[in-house]
Amino acid sequence: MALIKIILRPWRLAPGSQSLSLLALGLLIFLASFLVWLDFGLEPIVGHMEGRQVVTAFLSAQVADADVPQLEDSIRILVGAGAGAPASVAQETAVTKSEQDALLAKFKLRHPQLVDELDSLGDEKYSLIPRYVSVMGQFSGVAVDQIRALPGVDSVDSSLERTQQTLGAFKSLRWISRILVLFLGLSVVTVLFHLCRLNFTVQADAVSILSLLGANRFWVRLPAISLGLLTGLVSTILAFGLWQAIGNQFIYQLRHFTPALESLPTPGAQAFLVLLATGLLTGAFLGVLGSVFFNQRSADVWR
Amino acid sequence: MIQLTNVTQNFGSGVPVLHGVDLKIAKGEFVYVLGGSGAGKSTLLRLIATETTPREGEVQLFGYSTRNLSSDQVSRFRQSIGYIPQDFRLIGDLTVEENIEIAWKLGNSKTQLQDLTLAMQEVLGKLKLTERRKVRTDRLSGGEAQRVSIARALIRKPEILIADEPTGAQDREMSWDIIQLLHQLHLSGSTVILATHDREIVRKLRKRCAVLKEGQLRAEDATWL
Repeated sequence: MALIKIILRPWRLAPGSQSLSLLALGLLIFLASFLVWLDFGLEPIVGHMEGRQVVTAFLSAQVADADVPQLEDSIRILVGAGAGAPASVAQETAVTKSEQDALLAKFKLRHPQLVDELDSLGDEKYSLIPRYVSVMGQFSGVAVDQIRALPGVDSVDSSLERTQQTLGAFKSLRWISRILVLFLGLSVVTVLFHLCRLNFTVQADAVSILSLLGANRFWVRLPAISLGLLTGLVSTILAFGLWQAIGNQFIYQLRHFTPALESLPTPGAQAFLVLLATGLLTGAFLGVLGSVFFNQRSADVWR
Repeated sequence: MIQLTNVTQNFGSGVPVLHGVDLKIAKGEFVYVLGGSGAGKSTLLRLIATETTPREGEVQLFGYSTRNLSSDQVSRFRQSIGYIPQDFRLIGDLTVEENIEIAWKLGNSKTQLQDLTLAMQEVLGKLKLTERRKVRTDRLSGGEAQRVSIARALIRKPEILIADEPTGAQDREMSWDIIQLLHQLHLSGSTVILATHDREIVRKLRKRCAVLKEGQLRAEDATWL
């Protein structure tokens, strides 16, 4: 009981400072964990955007249906997925009339009147509905330009070109997140250092007396380490509480910022365990730092 | 058991507090450390209590030099010592009982709780602290706080008792009671080193005297009395 009183002495003598420090630590751990989560969450999205490019070549109305397969082959060759290409490079292509019908069926759900009007035109409707060849994969800018130059191709839409700015923004966001995590880490160390000094000042005389009465190294270090672990645990619980209270709202807002972010993962139990481990490690660091202070500052008493 | 050889100790400013002190105390002895204010009594006791190490010379306890002890050895030595510092060194926000209990537990890790209860009752009774057992020590008077410091040292039944002016904050009657307690401990086989400037105590309970004057030891100096 007496030892618990000594361990919790900073809480009894300076509850305001301890509470504010814990709050600050909890907030910093929450922000850092949020940014780490964002960085990890963006990694597969950026990879997907860079690696899974969709190039759509819209065909001219003058191209006869019979010529479309030949055009398809030309595009396949240009993107390196022609006959003889390795299976791993095999690309998907999709085309024309049947797809035009599928497209109409899709339209009908949202714009039934428009589709009815098109149907009333008979086969003539196919000249109004765009035909395209779509390829998905990782292509060079040259290949896209060459597709664009093919006779019979009206225009080419590249998802990479369309999402270039978004991709750049995501990459910047990841970079900024890492820098901010570094700064937040430094802030955590600063808070811990000050908290450590405060705890040392408050516990020093009691620990010196314990040492003078014959407490060994374990008992001399126990108050600082216990308090450190307690601080780490409580600040992690605070960070977890912040995740529950506002973290999910942050995720919701991010996912609705752009469809590309819809696949951002929701942190699960594993993430909480990582958070808990981080908090306890932070606390242990605080405790060990504190016990080092005791060894240095109580040199006359403790050798 | 305790041997100081050519011990010199300075304050930070370099002013010598002790200079070339030689002292040998055998097991079971009762020794007064006498001297005026600033003579170096407390410094000498702090050296024996392993609170500090000498700048020059050597302090040996049980044949071991305190300078070369590992931290674990220092702990074990301190557990076998009952030390009553001049400034009491109590943990202010703990109660009288808790302060004494910590010392007992650190010195008697294998004994039973029942033993602690009995030892606590005995020592509190002898030092007239029973009524104050649940009071925080930072709310005690100077005399009471000093008695708690004495109780903390006595509850361990230490092999060596080092007492620095243990009666300085007590009235005449209580002072003599405390000296009687220390004498009883001595009779049970413990070594007692008592620093005091109270000539009356020394006259009433005649024991070996080590007199310090200007940092130098003049053993058996009867003129001090």
